[in-house]
Amino acid sequence: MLVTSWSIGLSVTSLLALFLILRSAYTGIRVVRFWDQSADTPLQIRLESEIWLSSTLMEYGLFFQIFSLLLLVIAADSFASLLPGAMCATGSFLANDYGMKSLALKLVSVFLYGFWILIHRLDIRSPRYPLVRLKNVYLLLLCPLLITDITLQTLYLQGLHPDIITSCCGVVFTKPDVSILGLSQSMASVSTVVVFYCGCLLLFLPAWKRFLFSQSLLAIGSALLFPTGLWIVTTFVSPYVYAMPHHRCPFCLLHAEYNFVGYPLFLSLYLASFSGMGVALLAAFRKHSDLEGVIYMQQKELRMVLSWSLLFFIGLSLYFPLKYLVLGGE
Amino acid sequence: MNKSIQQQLNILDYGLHSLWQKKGRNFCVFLIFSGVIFLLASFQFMSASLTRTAELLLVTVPDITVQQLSAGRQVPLSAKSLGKLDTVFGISSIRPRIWGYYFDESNGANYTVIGSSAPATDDLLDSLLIAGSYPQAGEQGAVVLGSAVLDNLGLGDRKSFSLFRPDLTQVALHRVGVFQQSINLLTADLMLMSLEDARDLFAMGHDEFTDLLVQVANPTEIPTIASKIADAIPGSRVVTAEQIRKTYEAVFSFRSGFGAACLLASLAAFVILAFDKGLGFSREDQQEVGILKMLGWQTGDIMRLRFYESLATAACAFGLGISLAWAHILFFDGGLFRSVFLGWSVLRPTFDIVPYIQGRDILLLFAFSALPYLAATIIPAWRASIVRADSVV
Repeated sequence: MLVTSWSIGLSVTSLLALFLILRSAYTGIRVVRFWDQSADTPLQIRLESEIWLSSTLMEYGLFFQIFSLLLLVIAADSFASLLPGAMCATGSFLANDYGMKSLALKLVSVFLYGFWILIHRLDIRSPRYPLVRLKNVYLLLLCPLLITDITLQTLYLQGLHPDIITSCCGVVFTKPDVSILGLSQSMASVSTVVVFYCGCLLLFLPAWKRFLFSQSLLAIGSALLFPTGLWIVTTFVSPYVYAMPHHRCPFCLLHAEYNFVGYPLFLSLYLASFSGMGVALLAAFRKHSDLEGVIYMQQKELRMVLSWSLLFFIGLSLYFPLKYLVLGGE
Repeated sequence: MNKSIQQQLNILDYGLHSLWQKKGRNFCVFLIFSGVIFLLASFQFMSASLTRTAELLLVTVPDITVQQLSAGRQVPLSAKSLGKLDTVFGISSIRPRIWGYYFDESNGANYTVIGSSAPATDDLLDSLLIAGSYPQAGEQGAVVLGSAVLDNLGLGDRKSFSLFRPDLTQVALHRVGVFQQSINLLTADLMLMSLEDARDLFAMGHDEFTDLLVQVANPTEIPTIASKIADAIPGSRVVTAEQIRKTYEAVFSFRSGFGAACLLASLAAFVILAFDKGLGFSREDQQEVGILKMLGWQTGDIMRLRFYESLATAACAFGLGISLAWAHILFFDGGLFRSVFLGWSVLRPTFDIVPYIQGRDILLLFAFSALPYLAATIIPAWRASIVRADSVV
């Protein structure tokens, strides 16, 4: 089913990203091999101007890929009206073997792309470009990931046929024996929910207070926040939004009838998780003395993003259950 | 205000000024870009609007339609088949129907003839008529006409007319009502009459009909009941309303995708044009960059300046292209691409499209058009920004 506007839009975006990142990787290879900060050779001067091009191309490419995650989810939602049995993006993603893999890889990649942008923003703040080699090695490591991402996406789109009968979210997320990324294998109990929200609040501690292993705790806590947050939203929060105990689905939250509540919910969860990990990541570069001031500033900004987005996520996700408890069902 | 935000605003301000100064040169790119977006957006909006129109019209379609096949071709059902459905629980009503096409040799048009047993009484169906009523039970020769049939037959104010049976004997009919223009997608070429009159016109047997329209009490049971009907009447084709809706959507979605694929060539041509134009910077541009560098601008700042210029061009062209496409659908019913989506026939249904736009379509169009343009301007922007100040000033 490659010939729909959505498939073509997705493919165009991904091919653009591929072109930009491969061009960027071409400079990246030369930087890794020949970069010498102390040299004054024509090659070094050429590389110093080319890193601006490569990093800009990379930023664009990564932005396009992040954008393609959003496009993929919306595209899957629009495919649901074409596939028999599918009622939202869940059914579309399960229509063949590559849908969920493509989505999962994109979700992980978006974090890794974000980290590159973070390192790049740090690097260009110093006239010595102390992280340029590391940044380009990282860039080269991202290339196979990007190619796998685009391959899976293409296989997914290619394998979609309107005559395939797939499962709707009512089946997938209600039966514990039907798994989707392992998220629905068990439902969140009250104690799990309490532990999750207490864990969220505890995350503020390593974010703002410094103590032994605080950065490691923050990194691990933020990394766990995203998958557990998705699970809690799917199995605990979503039935309250839908006002239906058996309707558990992360994708229906993106629909207009639920006021697109999924977008702020997932975006705040992503921002909280990413900025938490980002604070810990930046701490690893403290040994570069000329970056210390910049790292301090950027960590402060990330902490603010973490705090506000986490508070927003907690508030919004608890709003629906609390509304039910206070005002009763619809 | 934060210092870095102020700096970005200053660069943006300078970028917009510089864009305005070079408006003659940028206008051509802006115009072509708007044209490309207009074409892409028209296809997308047309597809969304037609899908919406079909959705709105299909609410009147019965839950399940049953037809008889023999050797893969449709043949009439008999009253015996109707009896077989008595054992299927959950059906709230069954209505036999005759659905056929009448070829009018005098003007080469095909009319759709529907013979239905039930005189329609509910308000929804009554509101579909401009004037008159549906054929009443026992009323012989009464017909409701679609507006295009009315024009084609050249009836004017006359009510009576006649059509030919297959053996060329005549059937006398009279018009009792006319369908609304707003549902022309379904009724432009339609003649609705009683089951007996339709049998008479097509010279069919007295207990024969072409399909059965089944209504189901509980909508969630439709697929189950459809499969039970398929078992009860061997060799039958059972189609649900949901399948019809999905088919319509698949057709429009495919056609819109096909159109988008064709327009990719024009998009690629435009991207090459933008890339080429970006590369051809003049001596004046080089001097501008040289002066900016002498004033302390970095390579990154100049690339950002060019980015803001491209973004502003893309945003304006996107706005204009989308607005033109919307006007094309709203005021001209998508005249340019209508035949691509709807096909061609002698009696083309002249219905009004329900204009429909979704945020997601705008996002998709942005991915289609603005992103390739922005990507095409990076390398020229970089080429322009690495000019050495001492070499040009």
